[in-house]
Amino acid sequence: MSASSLYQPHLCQIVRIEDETPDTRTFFLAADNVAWRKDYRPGQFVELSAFGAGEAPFCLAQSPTRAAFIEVTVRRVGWVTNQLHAYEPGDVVGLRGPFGNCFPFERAKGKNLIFVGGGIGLPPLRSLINYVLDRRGDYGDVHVLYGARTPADRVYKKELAEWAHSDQLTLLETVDRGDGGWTGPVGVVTELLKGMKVDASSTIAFTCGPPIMLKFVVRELVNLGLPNKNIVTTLERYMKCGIGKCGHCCVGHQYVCMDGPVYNFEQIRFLPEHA
Amino acid sequence: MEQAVISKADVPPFLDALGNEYTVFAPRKVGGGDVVFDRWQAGEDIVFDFVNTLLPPKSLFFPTRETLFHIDGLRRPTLTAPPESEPLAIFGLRSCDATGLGFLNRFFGQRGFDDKTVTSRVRDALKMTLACHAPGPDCFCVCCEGGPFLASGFDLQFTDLGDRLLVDVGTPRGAAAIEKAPARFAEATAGDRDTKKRLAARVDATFQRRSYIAGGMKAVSLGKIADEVWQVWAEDCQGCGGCCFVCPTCSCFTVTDAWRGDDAAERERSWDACLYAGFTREASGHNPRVARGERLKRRFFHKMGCQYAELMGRHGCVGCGRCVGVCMGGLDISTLLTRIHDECK
Amino acid sequence: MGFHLSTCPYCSFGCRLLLHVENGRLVGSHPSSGHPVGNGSLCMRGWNCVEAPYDRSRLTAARVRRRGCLTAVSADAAVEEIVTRLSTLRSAALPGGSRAGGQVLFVLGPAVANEDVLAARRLAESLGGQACSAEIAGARVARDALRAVLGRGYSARTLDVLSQAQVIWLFGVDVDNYPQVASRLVHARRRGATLVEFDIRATSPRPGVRSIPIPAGRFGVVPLLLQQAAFDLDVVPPRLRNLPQFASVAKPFVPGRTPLPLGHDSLTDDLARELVRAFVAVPNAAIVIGDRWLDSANAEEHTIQLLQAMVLLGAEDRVVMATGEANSWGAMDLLPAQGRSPLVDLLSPDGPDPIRALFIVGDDLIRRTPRPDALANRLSKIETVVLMDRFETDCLPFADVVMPCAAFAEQDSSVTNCLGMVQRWHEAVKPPGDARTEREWFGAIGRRLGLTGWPAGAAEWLRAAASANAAYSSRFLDALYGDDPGSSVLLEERGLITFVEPTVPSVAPRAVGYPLQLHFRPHPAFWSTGALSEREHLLRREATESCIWLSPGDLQRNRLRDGSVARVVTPYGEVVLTARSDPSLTEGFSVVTALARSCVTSRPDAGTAAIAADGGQMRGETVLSVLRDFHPDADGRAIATEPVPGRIEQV
Repeated sequence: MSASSLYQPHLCQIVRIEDETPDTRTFFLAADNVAWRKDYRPGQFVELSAFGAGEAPFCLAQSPTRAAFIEVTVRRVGWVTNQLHAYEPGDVVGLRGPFGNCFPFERAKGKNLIFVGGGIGLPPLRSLINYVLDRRGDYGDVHVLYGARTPADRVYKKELAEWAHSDQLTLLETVDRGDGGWTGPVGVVTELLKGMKVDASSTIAFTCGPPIMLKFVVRELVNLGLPNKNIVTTLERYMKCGIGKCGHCCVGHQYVCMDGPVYNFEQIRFLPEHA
Repeated sequence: MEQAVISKADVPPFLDALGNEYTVFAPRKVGGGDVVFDRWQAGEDIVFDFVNTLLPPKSLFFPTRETLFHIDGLRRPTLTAPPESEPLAIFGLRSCDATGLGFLNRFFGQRGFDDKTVTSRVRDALKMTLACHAPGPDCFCVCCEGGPFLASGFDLQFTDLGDRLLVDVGTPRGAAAIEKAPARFAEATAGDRDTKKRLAARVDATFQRRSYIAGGMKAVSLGKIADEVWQVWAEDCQGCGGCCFVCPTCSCFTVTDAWRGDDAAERERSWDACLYAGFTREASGHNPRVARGERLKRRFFHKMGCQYAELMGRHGCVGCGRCVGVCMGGLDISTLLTRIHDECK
Repeated sequence: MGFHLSTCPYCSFGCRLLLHVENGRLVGSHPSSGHPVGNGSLCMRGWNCVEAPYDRSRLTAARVRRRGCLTAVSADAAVEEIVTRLSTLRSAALPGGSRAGGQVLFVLGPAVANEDVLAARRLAESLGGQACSAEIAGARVARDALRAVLGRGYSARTLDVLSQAQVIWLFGVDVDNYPQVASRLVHARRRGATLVEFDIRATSPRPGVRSIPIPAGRFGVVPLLLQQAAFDLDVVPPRLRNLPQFASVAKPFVPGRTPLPLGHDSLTDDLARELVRAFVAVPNAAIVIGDRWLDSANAEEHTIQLLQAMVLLGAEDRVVMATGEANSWGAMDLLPAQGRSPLVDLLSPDGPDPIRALFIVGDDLIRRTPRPDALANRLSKIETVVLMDRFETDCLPFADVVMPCAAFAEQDSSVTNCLGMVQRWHEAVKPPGDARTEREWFGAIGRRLGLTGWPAGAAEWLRAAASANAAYSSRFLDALYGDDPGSSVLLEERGLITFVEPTVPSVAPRAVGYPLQLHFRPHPAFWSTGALSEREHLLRREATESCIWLSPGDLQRNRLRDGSVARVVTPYGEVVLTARSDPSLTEGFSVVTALARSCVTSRPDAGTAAIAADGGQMRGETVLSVLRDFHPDADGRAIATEPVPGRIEQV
């Protein structure tokens, strides 16, 4: 392979696209010739290219145990994502990865797990949730708490419906604002945590979402007695190369694309810029 | 270490001989009084009397802008990598820049991802340094283990002894280079070696020692300077990015797709600067380092922090002094380390 | 590989730089040592200037509008089209038998090189028409005032006047837009120089700068107070003391003795005397006049008075005019003096000799004008509109013919900076496609129309400049096209200081050209580095984060909170902004005054200035022209009468 292979992406065809919300879509990419499609770990990310527009990082939104496709959930927010949203099945995107560290799914074995997701924070968690469900015997109780702005803004609606009826996990959902048809709780996702009975010594929490949500969720988890190192999240940063060279994602002396993006709060305490 | 001598008049033919295997670069004077590294043309004169080039030679190995691959067809693309280039031979490299190249080589090759677009170029290049006789007005390599004479990090080290140059052979590649024009070189006599030793000692003594650098490093690593202080210092920064571009060890870059027609593009890598306000801005608009003081603090942490020094085997300043000349706000590394030293007294 | 010297095209100071070329493409730019302005440094724009020429909006093929659509055509075909259209013009007969020449107008933007300016003028005059520069108001006001008072086109001839000054006064200067000025100010502060800033609103407090906020529209009082102080302190040279022009100033100054109602640091007589005392106590105090001053109400008048104040204080050679773009000053040197009529009026279809053919050369008029709708209306009615530019601009929908032009790095030309230095652009790479210099296009048109004696090359053109402006004597300018590629020539000028009685112009609000546009135009895509993903941020900010600052009381009165989104409605249009609280503001300012303040405020972070207030239908320039409705009182000093009514509503 030529000298630039670290930057030259693998070409992947879009097989299917699903609309999750008005501004979010999930892309199903053909994975047959992706050597690592079963070997990546939940929490890792890829750099996806919309050729002509550029590259952007996205977490791998599906568990490696369900590797029929490479699944990536994209919210339309900038130059590259707008271009991606204009694509149709059959179009080809570029893929580089998998990058970054992963959720501590080994350390979490035997523990009870709480997942707290907000809005577009569910995709990274979903890869681990499905992984856990596929290795169900290795883990204790599983709670999934999900909050979205409105019912229309919930991602993975089909999956949420399955989880609601599953006896493998307990799903609690809430929205900031209901619509006519919403019968569930209304309020912030932190409210769902209050009143949960949690055995702090044997629980690990995974939480992803907007910074303001994280702030309150973490506070609530700490109140429930969880030590910082058992509260795990993913750090967001502008990333470019994904391999610790371009410098954009540096925080302190770490590169979020290599030393992260998964961090626990004990580690985050020592990073100079938390936001 | 093997040592040889070559007369100054024989250097051009030596470079010509290297031209068969390498693309040779040497310092050239350009209009406006600056010196740049440019392709050596047969029959050209060698520039010996210069302090240093305005841009460090990192631009030969890590270009300001380069194509990573061509894209034909944006929705059904074909990617083509650019052709490999010939190895470089560079003459007239200063010790500080040679040290910088070693730093970049290590950075681009570490942590499991060897970026051969840079590392192969550095490793395959013939590095011929020209030791400095006198410090430039802004130089402080002696405080940064960057010169003026090196014990390693070069293939050939040339020392100007007047009409001839003493050549230290640093690597087998250097020895092989001499074999390309063996008639031009003679064995160094004991007298030559002595001259060089005395010269090196004399030159070293003329470089000013700046003791605040070690103290500054420590203070930066331990986060001893308050954020508010960085904010005040950053008031003077004009956000030009010049310090990042002229620094031999700075390597931040961005990758973009440049338009080449309606259905073609080129993915380019180009230099970026961590001091730019948009460096960390995310697509959502959130910017973790929105204040200039935060970016300044970050830059110094990256350059001088112990944590990075551990990762890289040395801190990130080679004492070339270029940032002193290019900074519009007087915030070069030397000035700031002095301030840090004073602040922490 | 090649290294070519050139001059940065992004502001009117023009740092020299080295362009790096690989395989026929520009790959980088570096500073050039030993340049009196750049001093071996470049600002963010200079370091990134090689990216713009490759933007996707770059014009590379000539186009002609056929059946409503702009279609790519060969260069020759485009020239033919223009010639055909111009021939129609020339054959039209006017009452009195004059040629229809007055019907052709060439409007030149600030980045058109000297040689191309001269070529435009030559072609225009041969057609009996006219060439004028686009409305770069700030530079024009500066130039007119300099000519009126100092009898020459330039004051300070080097930025060393700032490097050596121990007292520096700043008048409405946007330092973020002229980093070389900012750099000199940083060093001045470091060596303990006194810096005083007179500006519309105190920007976020800067260390070491004493800030004297002046309300918008009240700038005119400042030079008068300074003149008064000079007389009070008896520092005026005897020969100037008894001039009739200063009779009113030398007497007690009534009204105006009362402090300006600012609520904080106001410019009282005592303060003015203190400042003037400090100014004359050092031998080389200097001032910088910037765009916020030069673009403000009645700037023509109070810039003249400021220059006269400087003469009284002996500092007339140390006035730096920080305004203009690449070749604003050269264009003003080489074109005939033009009146103050806004472009929209020049293009009016009424009148005896309306413009029927318009050449828009190197400027985005629609984007710059304060009255885009009116201008668009005019443009759509002109028979022939020729667009000559490097990039697609907002004028494209009105163009009948489009001619692609060479960028700064693609031509051998000269440009003049705001210090009167003539410098070179060198051709480092070939222009893309059919792009070429404006003078080549004009030459092709002229040849087809039978024009002879067209100069062959750039050097010849520059020699012809002497006939347009004696300061461009060929004896010195030949050096520019000589052996030393880095040479520059300082124009020689002799001037006679004259004290004039400034008059308040009676024309309608003057159009404002914002050099701040540098950040966005003429090319939409910017640098890929973090520097100008900055630009995208600024563009987004224009739409959603443009702010209006109000005192906490005013916020409350309008039922707003800090951060709430507000719609400001005035008779001149409405705009959506974010309301922000500023406790330093005095209560009770009219909505429009507060809006005008926010229009010209710098952002507190990063080294770029915000244009603000272009959140929708109303541009900042329009608001400022609204403020020009303030009427001067009988003594010629501007004070606000009735603030323009408006209301602010919550969105």
